[in-house]
Amino acid sequence: MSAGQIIFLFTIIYSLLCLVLRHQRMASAFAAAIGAGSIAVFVLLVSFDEAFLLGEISIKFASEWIILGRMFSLSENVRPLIGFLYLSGAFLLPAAWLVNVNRFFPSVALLILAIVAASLMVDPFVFAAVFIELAAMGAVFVLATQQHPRSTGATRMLILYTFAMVSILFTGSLLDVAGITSATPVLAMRVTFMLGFGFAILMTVPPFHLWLPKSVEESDPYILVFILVILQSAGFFFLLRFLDNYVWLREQTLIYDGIRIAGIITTILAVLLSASQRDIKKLMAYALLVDLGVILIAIGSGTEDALRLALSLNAVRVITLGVLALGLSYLCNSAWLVSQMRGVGYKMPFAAAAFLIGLLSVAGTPLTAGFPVRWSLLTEVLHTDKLAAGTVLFSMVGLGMLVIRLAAILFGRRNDDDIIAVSKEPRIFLLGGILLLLLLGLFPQLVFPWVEDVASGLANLFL
Amino acid sequence: MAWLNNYLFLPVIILFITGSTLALMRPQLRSMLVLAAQYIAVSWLASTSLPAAGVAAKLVTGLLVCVILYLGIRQIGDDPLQGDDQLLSANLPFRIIALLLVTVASVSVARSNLFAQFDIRMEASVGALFLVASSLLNLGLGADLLRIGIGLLTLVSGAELIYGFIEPALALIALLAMVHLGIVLVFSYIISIQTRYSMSENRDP
Repeated sequence: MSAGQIIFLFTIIYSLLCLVLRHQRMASAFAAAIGAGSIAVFVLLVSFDEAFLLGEISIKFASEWIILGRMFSLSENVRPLIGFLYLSGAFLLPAAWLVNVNRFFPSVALLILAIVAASLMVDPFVFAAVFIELAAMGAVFVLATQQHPRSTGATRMLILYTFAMVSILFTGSLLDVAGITSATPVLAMRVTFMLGFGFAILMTVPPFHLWLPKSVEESDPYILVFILVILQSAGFFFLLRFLDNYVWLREQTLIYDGIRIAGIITTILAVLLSASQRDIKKLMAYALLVDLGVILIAIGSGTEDALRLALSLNAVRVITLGVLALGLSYLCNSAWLVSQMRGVGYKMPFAAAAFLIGLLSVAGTPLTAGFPVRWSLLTEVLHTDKLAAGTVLFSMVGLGMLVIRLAAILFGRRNDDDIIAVSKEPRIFLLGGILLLLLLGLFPQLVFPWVEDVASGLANLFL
Repeated sequence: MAWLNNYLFLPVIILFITGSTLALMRPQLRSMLVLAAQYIAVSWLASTSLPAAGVAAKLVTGLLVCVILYLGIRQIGDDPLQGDDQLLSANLPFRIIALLLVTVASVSVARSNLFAQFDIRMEASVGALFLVASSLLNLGLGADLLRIGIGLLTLVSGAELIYGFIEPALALIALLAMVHLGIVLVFSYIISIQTRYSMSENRDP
């Protein structure tokens, strides 16, 4: 049996289990998390293409699986990426029962993870664009539900992802069939443009971010963070594989400059927009964009160290954004407008603390998970690009000041007592998340082994 | 079936008619018939690049998409589309001018050497680019979910018509068939929950 078959078989089994348990929200969420975790362990730890003994039985999992003449390969270079996606699922799914989500969410979330895993396994890897489109379709089913019936954001996302799929499929073909090199400048320019267009959509770079504030308005912030983390990670890994596979692309300084400029614009725009928001959910949406902008600056710096930092940022953001969104999910139960949230922090201290510390981590404040990587990035880009360094610093200061303002509102004086308090179980999750953020702030080296695994898989990009 | 290739101008004409009709008509149940005709024309054009099995798969998928969308909308009891007696869209003169513009643009782009690297037949190129252009029109001018869904299906049809010449692999045909079915399921789902939501809002004063 092949490893790919095992992954899809177990995804379907766990997904069906979640479906059966859908009326017991906690059991369903934990079943999904255990499923995602066990698949992550299988992907990361089991050796493939070699027989090993389990008791007295000899077992061998093939790394390749062929369907309709196309290969799904769980090669060494994609194992850490797929493992990361499933671990992200295992981290985010247990808290799904605490927030206002559809009871089918854990089931659909596992299927989305499997589709994104397929996008990393498929050969030729250009076909990944189609799988990411299919994952975006799955995302629509969790963003637009009976509880959250408005679907403008989800529809916008699907339209944009369809454009991205078409654009990247054509680019991949042009690269394969037309044999683009630096000696074919017209074609090279066309490919660069189409590729930039496709990846800008996949990475939610402005102006293709328009679905994001609308979606956060229409659905639960926690669901949106799950979708965004998984889909943006898929887009990010896809971009890294493109760069790893095509020498011509790697050697184009124009591409790295473009990514860096996009990152700078995204960060500045998102900091300003988040500071001017009155709706706290939209504020979170723009904070997510700040985080993305910093990752783009890291990728656009083009050095191996900066790419390693981009991977670290991507790993840390799962925890940061998860804690931030969980806190916000509770805060939103009382009010949406920032001006109406005065004193909410006294009634929901854990939720308010999770939200603020999550935001501090996005800002890269010392002692939080986001600080070590942002600080390293700042020192990395300081000598090569002052504007990029200034932008990273601006995001840290800008978001930091925003947190101070929000803290003053959330913990401001208030007389009435009509706010809903948070029960015991969510408090445990919120506190656990806060502690994890602080732990990663003190021991950032915890994510290094994963980053090195990914780097060793992308041998052309990380020489 | 090779004789079909002698009449490739016919599916192109059908595509112009169906694309224009979908852009000018208000989206309604009858639109599914037009969409089905469009899928037949696309499959006919695709027969120049794909093996017979691939063309058959494309045709079956297309017809299945129309049936799913038709049944999905019909199942909704108080479908807002059913009460719509108007056949043509609002802002008709503007839509006609926009359609003429995108038609001219798509034909002129098809006549240029945009796809010179790939050996694509002129009829397929014209048909595909018109589909993409008319889908952009539907997506750009439509706020209606059904119109957006039809626009996306048309966009994918146009893109895969060209892509069939570049990569006529069975796996890709299957994947793109899944994309068509996925889009139709997503839009049937969204239309159904939106209709229920608007019904419950109407009930609650």
